[in-house]
Formats: sequence, C-alpha cells, structure tokens
Amino acid sequence: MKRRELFSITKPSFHPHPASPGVGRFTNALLRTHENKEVRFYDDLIRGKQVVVNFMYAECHGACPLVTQSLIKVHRALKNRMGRDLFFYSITIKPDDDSPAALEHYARTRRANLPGWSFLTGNAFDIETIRFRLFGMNHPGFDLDAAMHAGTLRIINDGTNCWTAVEAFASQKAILKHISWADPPKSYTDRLLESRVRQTLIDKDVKAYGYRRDV
Amino acid sequence: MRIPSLIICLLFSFIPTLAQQCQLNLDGTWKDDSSTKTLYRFDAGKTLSVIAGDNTGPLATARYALEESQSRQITLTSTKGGPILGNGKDPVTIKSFDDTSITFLTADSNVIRWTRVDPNRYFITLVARNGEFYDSSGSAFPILTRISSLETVTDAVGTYSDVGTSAFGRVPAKTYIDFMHEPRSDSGVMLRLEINGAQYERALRVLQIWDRRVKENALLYQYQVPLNNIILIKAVTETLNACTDAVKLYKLNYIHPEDWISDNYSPQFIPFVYFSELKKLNGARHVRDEEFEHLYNPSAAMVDK
Repeated sequence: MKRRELFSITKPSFHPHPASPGVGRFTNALLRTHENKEVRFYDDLIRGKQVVVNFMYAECHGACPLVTQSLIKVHRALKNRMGRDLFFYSITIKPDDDSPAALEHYARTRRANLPGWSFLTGNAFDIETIRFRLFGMNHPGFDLDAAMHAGTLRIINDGTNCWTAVEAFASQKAILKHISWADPPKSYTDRLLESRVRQTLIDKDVKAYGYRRDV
Repeated sequence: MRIPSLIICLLFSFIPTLAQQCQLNLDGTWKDDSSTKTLYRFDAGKTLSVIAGDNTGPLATARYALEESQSRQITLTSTKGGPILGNGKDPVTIKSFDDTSITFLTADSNVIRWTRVDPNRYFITLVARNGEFYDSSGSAFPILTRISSLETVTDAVGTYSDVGTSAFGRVPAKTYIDFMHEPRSDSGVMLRLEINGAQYERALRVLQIWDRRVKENALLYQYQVPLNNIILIKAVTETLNACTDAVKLYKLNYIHPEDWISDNYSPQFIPFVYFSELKKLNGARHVRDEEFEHLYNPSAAMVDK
C-alpha cells in the first residue's frame, strides 16, 4: 500500500472556522437520510466540512433528475474526495411526501446512491428554515418560490467559512470551478507545483498562438 | 433573466405552491339545509350521530369511513337507528365542500347540502401604525379573536413596539388591546372581519408557526426582520381564501408592475400599505367598534401566552 493511501483511509477530523455561523444560521435540525439514519444538520453534516447542497423532491420528473444527473457527473470527477472531505446533500422540498424510502428509491433509480451523497428529509418547519437560511435572497418574491432555490447549488466550506453558489444547470466545468473556490487552502508546495504546470501550458500556448489562451 | 434561469423556472414551474389547500374537515356539528331541527355530528372516533335539536341523545348513529381516492366517498355502517345518509348501503359521494358547507350525492342521485353549526364567533383584525419607530414605520400585526359563551381567546403575532423599538413575535396583551379600537388618524389602519372557524384555525396555525420560529430562533430572515412580517401577513391573509374567495385580496407577489406596493415601499412599510389596501377592498365588510364592543370583553381577552 502506498503511503498516501495509508493516510487517506484515516478519517479526517473536521474543524469549523472560528467565524463559522454554526448552529445559529445552519440550524441543528434533526433530519433523516435516504438510508433512514437520523442526523443533525449542523453537527453531523456541515460542521467543518465542504458540502454541496441542493433541493429536489422524489416525484419531480422535470428539473430534479437533470440536476441529479449533472451532480453524478461532478461526483464522478471528484470521486476521490467524495465522502472524505467533500459531501453532497440533496434535501427534499416536499418532506411530507418524501419518506427516507422514497428518497432511497429516487437515489437508486437515478444511480445516485453514491458515497458521500445523502438525500435528506425531515420536518417541513425545519426544512423551510434551512432553505431560507442557505438559499434566501432577502426577497420574499424569490424566496417563497421554492423553484428559485431548487435551481441553485449552494457550496459551503464550514472549515474555511467560505460560501458560494452556482446554477444547477451550469456546465460541469463551471460547477467544478465553483466547488474549487471553496476548497481548503493548499500548501505552498502544492501551489508551486500547480503554478509550474500552468506555466508550461501558458508557454505552450504562447508558442503556438502568440498569446495566452484560457488555461 | 438569463436563459438558464428561465429554463429552471419553467422546469420547476409545476412545483405546487406552499400555500395551504382547502382541506376537508368533517369533524363538528352540521345541519341539513332542508330540515331545521335535526343536527348531525361527525366525531374523531369515526362516528356520525343524528341529534335532535333538544339534545336528548342520538337518534341514530353510524360508523363512517372516508375514502379519498379518485372521488371522496363516505361509507356508512349503521350502529343504531335507520340509515342516516342515502340508503345506508352504498357509499355517499362528497360532491363539493368548503369551510362552512358540504354537498353529498347519494347513490340514488339525491343532492343533500349540510351547513356547519358553530356557536362561536371568530374575527381577524389587521392593524398597523406608522411613525412609531426611528424610521417612521410602526407596528403591524393580525389579531385573531375567538368569542364563545364561556371565553374570549385572542392571539396576535407580528411587529410591535417594545418601548419604542421594533420587536417581532407574539404581541403582549397590553399592546394589542390598544389596537382593538378603530384609529382616529391616518397614521393607523384597521380592518376587522368576521371569519368562520376553519379560516380562524388556518390563520391561527400560521401565527403559531411564527411564534415557534421566534421562540426557537428559526426566523426565515435573521437579519432583515421586516421581511418575516411580510411573509406572515401574506400567509395569514391568503389562508382566509384557501376554500373560497371570501376576502378581496391584494396580490402581494412582488411581480412588477402588478404589485405596486412592493415596488414602491421599503419592507418595513409594506404591511401598513397592504392593510390599507385590504381596508379599501373590504371596507364594506369591516366590523365597526360599536358592533364588536358588545361581543368583546377586553379583560377576559387580556391573557399573555
């Protein structure tokens, strides 16, 4: 076994950023996963982690499956991180209709029962609070329309207190780029290595076209 | 709006709104429109009883089961006396219903209409003032009142003045009692409407949810507190029309130019202007102080919850 693999199987410890809004903003609502496991929204799902949150419902045959398909592609691209330091949470906007079994069926039929990805249901009161706290735009006209929130992916890194969002139908490249904005800070060595690789591409571009393209 | 946003809105456009739907509630006492003396009572134990007007005990009883598949049907099994609705064998279809009435269609095509009997009276009072706070906005909240022969119950949740500062939550009795009289100047607005029991229950549910949000620190808007009051008053007033268009409503939907109130006013002033608009639309149904005062006992209603 390689040394890197040996380290990667140890469970990472998650520490929230000192400025994280914590339970006060995220709430610590009791939710249920599609595996029928009880979880606390902040303590178990958000605290110190990097997460991508979206809203959907099981009987949705329009946009939700398309968003799920898009997330499956993103999951594939980031599969080494999924369930380790990156997590996807799909929360139902119709908790009264969507039991854990219904969500499990949705995840299974869409082939989205993947590591690091939880489908969540709970109490309508709590889910509405979470929806407004994470996706609210300080505009009742938009916020009362659940569709406005369902078309957005909220990306949060509680370890760095970084929040960003991207349209659910954005390209895979754009979604990956937004997720990377919330990535934990890289070490000096990693940044140096990345810069060298990028510089090689820039040099190649300049040589071929006479100017730098988007690398 | 960009094209992807438009596509998302179209694809999600079939998501049902979170507004409350008209729900069938059989529990309670009903009277047949064609007969004056006989009363019918559905209770939670799935029993339907026929009661004579003089309250001498049930003349007939039946167990009932409500099926809500394609069409709502009630199956009755007599336990005492003869059949109550229809022939007692075939299920009875619920043709239509609203907050106060229900129409049945029996297997032999008879149409029977029942009206709910409720000894209580219910009122909703929408009150708002300007010029109370530093930004010249003020209190705005709905007051729900249930008056029975035994007690008067009052609930009020919204934005109120707590020693001159804006506060949001359950309004203390000593504050709302001051709002129970019609304002004498343009800086105040009041619309008092008599509503039915089902409308009262729905509106009360909205107030209870918001009361819980305040107590559990679960406000939808943590920092823009006036926006919470907008959602509260919108939900309370819209819930009155869940079954029938009982109240003429202004559409507070933030759609330009239809909703000129949200277009032109800051959030803290919207409730005042919204209530003023509702007063204009429903002025004819406003219950004046003179009519209300002989029903309402302020000291009985002044109970903080």
